[in-house]
Order: sequence, then C-alpha cells, then structure tokens
Amino acid sequence: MKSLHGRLTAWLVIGSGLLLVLGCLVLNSLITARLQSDLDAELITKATALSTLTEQEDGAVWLELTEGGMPEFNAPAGGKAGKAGAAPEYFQIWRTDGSVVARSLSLAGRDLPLRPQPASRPLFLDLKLPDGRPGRLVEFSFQPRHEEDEPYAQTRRDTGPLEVTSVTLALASGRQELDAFLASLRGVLIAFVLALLAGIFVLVRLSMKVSLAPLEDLGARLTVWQVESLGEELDLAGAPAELAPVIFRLNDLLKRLQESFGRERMFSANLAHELRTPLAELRSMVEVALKWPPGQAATASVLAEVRTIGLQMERIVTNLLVLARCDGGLQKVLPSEVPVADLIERCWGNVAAEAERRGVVLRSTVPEDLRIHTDEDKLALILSNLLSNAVSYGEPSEPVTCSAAVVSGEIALRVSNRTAALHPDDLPRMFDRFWRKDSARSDGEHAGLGLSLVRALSTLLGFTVTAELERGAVLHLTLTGRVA
Amino acid sequence: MRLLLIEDSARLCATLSQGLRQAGYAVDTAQDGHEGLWLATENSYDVIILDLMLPGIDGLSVLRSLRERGRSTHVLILSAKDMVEDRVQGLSLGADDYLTKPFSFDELCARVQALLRRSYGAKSPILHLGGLEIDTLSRQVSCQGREVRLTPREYGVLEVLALRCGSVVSRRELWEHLYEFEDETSSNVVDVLVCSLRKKLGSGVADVIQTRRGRGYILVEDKEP
Repeated sequence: MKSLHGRLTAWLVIGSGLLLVLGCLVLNSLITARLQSDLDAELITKATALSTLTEQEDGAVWLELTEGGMPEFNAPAGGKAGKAGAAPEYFQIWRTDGSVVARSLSLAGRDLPLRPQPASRPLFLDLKLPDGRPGRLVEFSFQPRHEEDEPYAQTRRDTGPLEVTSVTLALASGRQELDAFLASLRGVLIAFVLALLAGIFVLVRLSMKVSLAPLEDLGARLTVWQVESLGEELDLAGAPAELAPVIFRLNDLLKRLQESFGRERMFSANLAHELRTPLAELRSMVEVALKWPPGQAATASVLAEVRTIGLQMERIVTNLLVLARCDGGLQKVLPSEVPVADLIERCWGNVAAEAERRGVVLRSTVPEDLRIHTDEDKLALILSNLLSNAVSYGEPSEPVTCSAAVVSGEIALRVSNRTAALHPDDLPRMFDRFWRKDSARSDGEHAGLGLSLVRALSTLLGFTVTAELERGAVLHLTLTGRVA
Repeated sequence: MRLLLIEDSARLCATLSQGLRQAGYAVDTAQDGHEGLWLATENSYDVIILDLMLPGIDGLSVLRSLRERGRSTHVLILSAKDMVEDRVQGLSLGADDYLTKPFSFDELCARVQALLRRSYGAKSPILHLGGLEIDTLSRQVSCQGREVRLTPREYGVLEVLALRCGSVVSRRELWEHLYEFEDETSSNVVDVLVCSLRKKLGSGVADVIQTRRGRGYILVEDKEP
C-alpha cells in the first residue's frame, strides 16, 4: 500500500525536480545563445574587416592585408604563432567561379568548406577546424570595393559601368573556450539541481513528519481499536483543523456503532432467550415423558403443549423471515383497493378470543366507505399486530379504539388503548426487535416482534408509524401515509 | 431431598417440577423473584434451581439477597443467557453451578445430585456403608449384594440419613427434605417411612437406622464381621 508520505515526497520531489531541470535548461539555452551570439559577432567583425581589405579592379580581386596586420591568421595550422599563446584562426576568399582569391597562412594551403550557393546573408556553422579543434565559421558573399584611385575610378565611371565581381569570404575560429565554459556551466547547473533536490527531499520529509504526526497518531489509535473500545472517544482538542471534521465524524460514527452493537447484542440475547426457552420446554417435556411415560390423557396434554410450543417458535421464525425480507427488499407489494373498516373487523376477529377473555371491546369510528390503495395482506398483518398489541398490553376491560381521518390525500389510521405500563422513555424503543416492557420476557405468547414487524411493513407500504403516550395513560399508534 | 425451582415459564416450571418429583425430590416452585426469594428465605432447601430473567426481582438479585442474608443453600442457575460474562457474574455472586437452556433433564438431575453430595461432603455418587450400597445417581440401593426396591420417599429418608451418617436427623428435618411446602402431611409419616425402610433392608442391617428418642433418627454404619 502506498503511503501518504511516499506519495507526497515523490510528487513534491519529482515535481520540483522537473521544474528545476526545465529552469536550468532554459537558463543554459539563454546563456549558450548569448555567448554564441557574442562569438558570432566577433567573427562578423573580423570578417567585415577582411571584406573591407578586399579590393578589385578590372576583374582582379585581391586582399590588402599586410603580413603581421592580423597575426591570428598567420600561424600555420597546429602551430603557435601570431599572438603569443593564441590559437590560429582561418579565412578564405573565393571568386564566384570557385577560384581562391586569398586564404590565411594558417590554412597552409588547405581549404575551408564552401557552400554551393553562397549568399550575402552571413551563415554560421560549427565545424572541425583544420587543426582538429572544434570551431565556428561565418560565410557570406560581398562585392569587394574598387581601388581607391579616385581619378581612375572617376574615369571608369565616366566611360561606362564598372566591372563588378562578387567574392565569398569564410572565416573560422576556434570555439573550445566557449564549449569549455558551457560544459562547466552545465556541470554547475546539474550539481545545483541535484543539491536542491536533496534539500527539497529532506525538507519535505521533515515537514511531513511534523505535519502528518496527528494523522499518524490517529491511525495508530484506530489500528489498536477493538469492539470494547467503542465507548471511547477520539480526542478533538489539539487536532489540526483539517482533521477536526474527520475526528468529529469518526466519534459520531463510533457512537452510532456502539449503539448498533448494543442493539445487536440485545437482539441476539433476546433471540436466544426467545428460542432457548421454548426449546428447553420442549426438550424437558419430551425427556420427562420418555423417562416416565405418562398415561393416555397426560400424553395428549403433553402433545398439545408440544404443538403450542412448535407454533410459538414457528411464529417467531415467520416474523423474523418477514423482517429479513423487508430489510432485503424481497417483500413484494401487491396493491389493490382495500376497504379499511372491513379489514379492521376481520383483523379484530383474529384477536377476538383474547379480547373476550380480557373483557376488551373494539370501538371503531373508521368510515365504512374509506378505501385506500395498498397491499391488503400486509395492511392486515399491520392491523392484526396493532390490535393484538392493544388487546394484550392494554388495560383489561378497557376498549380499544380505531379511528381514521383523511386530510389532503393523507390518511391517519389510529389504534388506541389505555395502559399503565408504559413510560414515555419506552416509546422510541418499542419498535426495536424483541423489545418487551417486561425484561423477564415471561410471556410465552409474545416475542416482541409485532411492532418491529408493523414498522417494517409500514415502511414497505409507504406509511409511517408513530407512537404517542397521551397523559401517560393512553397509547396511540398511528399509521400515516398517502391514500393512493 | 427438597428443591426449590424458581422459573417464570409456567410450562417449563410444571415440566421440571413433575420430572424432579418423579426422580424422588420434593419440589417447591415459584414463578417470580419475590415469591422465590420468600420461599428460599423461609424454608430450608437442599438445592435451589434459579432462572435469571424473572418478573419482580431478577434471578441475580434473588441470589445476592440470599447470600446477604447468610443463606448458603446450593444454587444452580438455569438460564437462556449463555455468555461467559453471564456465567461469571452468576458464579461470582455465589451460585454453585450454571446450566444454559436448553438442557438435558438427566444432566440437570446429575448436577442437582452433585450439589447434594457437596452439601454433605460426599465425593462419590455411590455411598458404601458397611453392607449397604446406595447409588445416588440411579437411586438404587443394595444390601449385602441384594437389591432393595424402595419408594422415592423411602429412598429419600435413607439418602438423607446416609449422607449424614453418624449424625442424628430430626423428624422435622427429614420431613422437610421429603415433602413440599404446601404438603399437609404430618411429620408422623416419617416414622412410617422409617419403619417400612427397616423392613425392606432386612433383619441383617435393619438396626443400622437407630431411633434416638425425642431427637430423631441416626444411621450407624454396619461394621461387617
């Protein structure tokens, strides 16, 4: 896995390295161009001087250069002459027909390269000098001036146009000093870039070590984080501004995770209890019956109990399956027009026996003609659970009331019952799976899944279910949602 | 032997008490913590079988209250809670054993029997008293190699006397070990049971159960020649 340290170091060092190299290349180009331009200017100056010394008359062209006038051209190639210690320079002048007008003594009869079609515009090129050194050459064509014998010249002008001859001059000089300087300059620049990169690398590592220390601390703490540590909070004080929102969110997440873990533990414990107790009943019943076989009547009674336990466990498993399908989005909704008042009557039928035993009656004010477009079976399951809840946990001999109101296309279907057992603190938890007011969970008939099933199915049908405790004595469970 | 079963599940309570009675124990039952604590405090039990999740007072509070009141009755916790922390908490509060639901009825009986042996300092489930051999697990008795068939009550009398061999056990104590709280039989029934027991054990060892007038009965180990 790539570390933040590694990535930042690589990006910063490579990035700044590229910028430095680019800068040095530009600098090198500028300096090289400037120095070469100086060298070319020097060549042009000398070449111009030579061109001014070149004269012509009557088709004849010659160079008016006295020996020792420009000593750098006198030394033979490879020799040390002219200026003491100075390397020789070279020139050569050609006519347009290629015949040589003049060449420097330093050439010792050899030739400088000549372009096939010379032009008046100076051309510069690098070459290897006759003495083997690297050099630079300038070449251009020009018309030598005429002999400065004015009366004669005047005479010729009077008699007709002068005969004009063009010549090509090439002058070459050594450039090893320039190349050596440029080479040393490039060395300095490379060393500068490398040193700067090393400095940047060290600086980046140091600054990151200091800057990323809080992030590393956070990582180290989270690495050793265990389920048991969920109650702890990460310290927000002293955290850098960039990390503060992360730590804040992490603490929030940890808190919710802790609550979720608590709920899961409670769910597992409750599920275990709900299943272990009937299993214990079943096993004990069978083992005792096998050990001391009962009479025929007692056997029938045992079998009836076994059936009851089986049905009770089946109910738990069925409800859990419905909840799991709702959670997983696998529960299908098959909508139709549902007459609400009729459905309530039918659902009341499921709990009528228990209601009669407890002296509870249903008082419904739901309009007979009220119809909503929803899944009838699932709404029936919701209503059956709400009514069963009201009958089982409401006060005995107190009625269960059902009412419905439609306002702006939204229905509010309410089931209410009197109860003395609930506290307002119970309301947010009563839709949790396996939640029971009686922590001993003694009642074998109910597992505490009814209201969680109501909430899951209501959500599936697009309804919202809420609980309200009026004056601490009347529980209202209200289903709200769009009618169509 | 007299047991107290505190279990809120009516079905499990009825089944277990029926099975334990069939196994020869006298069983009192309670279905909530308050009643259970009251019975445990008011009566003398050999073993208390205690559920943890109870209405009224929870099982751990019942156990704590019992120990705070100086009652050292052996307590076997019977619970659906199977986490290590639950067991540790129960045992730390003074329970002697912990059994998680669902369980084997035979295992429950064996654990109850083990607690009973601990009550009387016996290590082995088989008690050897001279020519008398009592298997407390299978509840079988043999006398000089001959199997003796006893009713559960007769076995109960013999077991109590054997476990407290050499000590006088009063009629009241014997009655309390044999009959339930709501039983209205007179303590004279103990004399009838002892008489019957002596007959079944036979002339050879009949006098191992001796009467101490005004005090009760004592089982004296039969020293074989």
